[in-house]
Amino acid sequence: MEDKRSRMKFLVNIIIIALFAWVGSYFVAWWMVAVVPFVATFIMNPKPAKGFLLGLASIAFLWLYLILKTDVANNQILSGRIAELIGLPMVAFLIVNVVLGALVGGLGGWSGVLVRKLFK
Amino acid sequence: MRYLYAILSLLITIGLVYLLNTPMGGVPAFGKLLDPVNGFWANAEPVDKDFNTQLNFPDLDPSSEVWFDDRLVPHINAANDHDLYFLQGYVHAYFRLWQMDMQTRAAAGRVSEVVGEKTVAYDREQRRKGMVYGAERSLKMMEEDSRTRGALDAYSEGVNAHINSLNSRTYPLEYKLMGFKPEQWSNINTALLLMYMADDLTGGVEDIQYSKLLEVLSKEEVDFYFPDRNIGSTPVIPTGTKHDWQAEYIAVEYPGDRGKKFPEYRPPLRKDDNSGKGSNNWVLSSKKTKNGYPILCDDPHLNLNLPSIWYEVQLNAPSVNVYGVSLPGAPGVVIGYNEHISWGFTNNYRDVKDYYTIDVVDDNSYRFNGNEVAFDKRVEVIKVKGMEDVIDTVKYTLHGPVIYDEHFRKEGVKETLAMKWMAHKPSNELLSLYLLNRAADYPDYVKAISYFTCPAQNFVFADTKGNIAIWGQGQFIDKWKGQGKYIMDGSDSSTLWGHEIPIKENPRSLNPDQGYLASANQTVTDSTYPYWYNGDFGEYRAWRINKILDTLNEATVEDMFAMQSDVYDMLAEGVLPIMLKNIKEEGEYISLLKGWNYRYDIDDKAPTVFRVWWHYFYNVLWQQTKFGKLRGAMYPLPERTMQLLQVGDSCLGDVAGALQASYLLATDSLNKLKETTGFEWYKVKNTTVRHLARIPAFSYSGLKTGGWGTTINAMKGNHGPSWRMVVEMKDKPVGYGIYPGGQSGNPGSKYYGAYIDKWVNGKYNELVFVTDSKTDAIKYVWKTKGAE
Repeated sequence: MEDKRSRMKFLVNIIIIALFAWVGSYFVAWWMVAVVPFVATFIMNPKPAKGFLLGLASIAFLWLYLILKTDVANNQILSGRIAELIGLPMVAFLIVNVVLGALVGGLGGWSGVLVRKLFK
Repeated sequence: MRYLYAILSLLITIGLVYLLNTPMGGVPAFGKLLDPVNGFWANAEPVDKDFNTQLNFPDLDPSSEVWFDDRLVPHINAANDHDLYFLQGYVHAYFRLWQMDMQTRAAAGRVSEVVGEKTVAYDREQRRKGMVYGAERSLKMMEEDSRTRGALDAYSEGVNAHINSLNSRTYPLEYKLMGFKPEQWSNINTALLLMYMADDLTGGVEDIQYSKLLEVLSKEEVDFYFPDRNIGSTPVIPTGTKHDWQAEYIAVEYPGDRGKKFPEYRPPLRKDDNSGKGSNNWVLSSKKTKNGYPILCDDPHLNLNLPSIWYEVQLNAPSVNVYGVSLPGAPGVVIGYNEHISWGFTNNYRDVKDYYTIDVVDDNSYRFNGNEVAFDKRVEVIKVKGMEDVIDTVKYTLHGPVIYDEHFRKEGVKETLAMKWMAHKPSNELLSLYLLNRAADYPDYVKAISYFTCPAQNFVFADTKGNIAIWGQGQFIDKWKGQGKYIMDGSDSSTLWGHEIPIKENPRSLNPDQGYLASANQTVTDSTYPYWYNGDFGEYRAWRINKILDTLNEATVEDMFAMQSDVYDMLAEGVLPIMLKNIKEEGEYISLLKGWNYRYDIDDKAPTVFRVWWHYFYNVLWQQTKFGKLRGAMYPLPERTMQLLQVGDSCLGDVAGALQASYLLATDSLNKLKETTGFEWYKVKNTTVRHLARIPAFSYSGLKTGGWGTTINAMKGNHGPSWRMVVEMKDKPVGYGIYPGGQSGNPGSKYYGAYIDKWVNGKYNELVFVTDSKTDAIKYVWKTKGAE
């Protein structure tokens, strides 16, 4: 019971972070995918590993969702060209793209927790 | 310890973000680029994108609208000229902004600003050619005429209206890749674009190469090998056309030495495959066509780039209703037709660019007619990405700008050379287009093209009343015989350009007996034209076109489509029998050639064998003559070479020996080709439509095309038919057209390369004049504020 509720909470947090990161990216810049998880974990103060996971999962989720949505609507016209430009096979390129965002989000979430610990 | 972890985590995070946010040495900032919200993903256009929208600009009349058909061709329906050109500017920017920006930068010598150090030499040469100088002078004229001023102002307003609606998310993809931003558009950019075209079409530097040849040839010999008018030409203005006017000026023979010697110049080897830079157009009178209407055809050959140089559009306002292709960056339609007339261009190639040696006194002055004259200095500041500005002082003489001197050398030229170029003369080509778009008959057309100064064009014309015409139109100079063939002595006033030839004395033909007119960059007239001229003319395509049209009757538009895709080579027809007769070899290659029909068909191997062998033969042949004494000399044209071979002229020396030697070289190359690319013609030729930033992933290569520069379908590696158009001049003209690209310049759009397959296969789109947005042809509508 306890476990299920905390898993639900984790999922909700991911969605909230993802939403704020989306809005932040839209109005400010792409690096809000680091800032938003940072602020979120700073406030929530989870364990460092969980903070990393929160950031990682939310941005992975956000970028994966946006990329798939855009890519399908575009019939992969542009992703194909960019993958060729970068020199990666299509699928590998999409994975790298999502992982890159996820990593930045994870690092943001991780540092949010660690900085929070300074204010104990 | 807490502090250490916190600082470490922050450092790693911020460090990564910084790395991903910073472009490094040509590599874009990956974080920015791959961001699905603002990065390249924002340019991935949904394939079912709904382009319907409303434009809110208070200056526009509410009844002005843009209608898009299913190919995304805009049919701009405007209440007045202002709205028409505003909306054209807006549409151009919407679909082609980055291209407009880059072409303008390329013209002005401002590429390094966004690319970096590697283009500095290119930028300097542009400045030294006086590109901006010429554009400024022409802009002044364009702005003095209220018609072109109005069109330019409205156009720029429209471009800027779109630019101002953009942000870093909505910038075209290439801005994100190259890391710069669009700047405000102004009228000078249009003038620069027109200079860019003039430079592309009148850019040759043969004067320097001819001068060099004087080291090993006498002037008489140069004339023998390089006749001013190609021998046996079927000229643009049909042979026998009466020049029924009294020439106003005819220059006297120049008494002095016509050319200077340039012992230091080492020109690059002129490749025989330079031939075929140009275009075709022709027009049939009603008596030659099946339906009894004139048919006009045009296919200008240019570099094959993406986004395409052309953008299809219909412009409809109370004063005008015209359809055709426009140049993104300029208002109006460049090649097309309206309800009364149609027109097309080929490059005229009469020489309008000459070089003068400058007798330099010191950094501030030069000698002219014994006097010292001060240079007019123009300081050019070239901004370079990631580097300090490069400053170059360009010295202007009374001839024109000093292009080469000790600060900026052309390979091998040690002299200080100034350039006299017709493109520097203030002119208003835009007015020509403005009036052509509105022309209703032959006199309107003549009036319109009279404003076309440079680059000179062969303007072909047809109207719905059954008239056909062609003019070799541009501003030309009454030159003494040989003037400007060689570099001239710039310290002597007797070498100055003389009178301008009045436009009414330009060569032309109206409704000739032969029932057709054709141009393909060949010699402009027969020898009865009173003024002397020379130029960079080629004959092969013209010979072929004239040969077909001579006997063609009851022609249909389908016949014209087939002609524009014709791949029969008159060069091969002329030289290959001689080559085969004089060679003793046998084997696969020889039997391929023996069975060949002189057509450059896509999958055929014989054209590859011929081209490779001819390439070596041509070079070996001339190498063993007097030309061989001069390293890297320019050789006579393939046309002349063929004629000398046909008469067995002794000046060629040991033809059989050259054939034997070149055959061995060719065999070697062909064997290698066979192992690598394969030697089907299209594979070897590798026709590529290349993205302007040379990004292979945005380009189309290995296209299955036939043809070569000497065939009507002049499809080369990166050069070819940039727009094919056929217009049947019915009471309501019906047009067909295709260009190698698509209406959108966005590599993320399905419209980006949409026409390429059709173009490769010689197919056409039907061009439709639309007068009602409710027709099925219209898919999307842009309304303006206040429209219902």
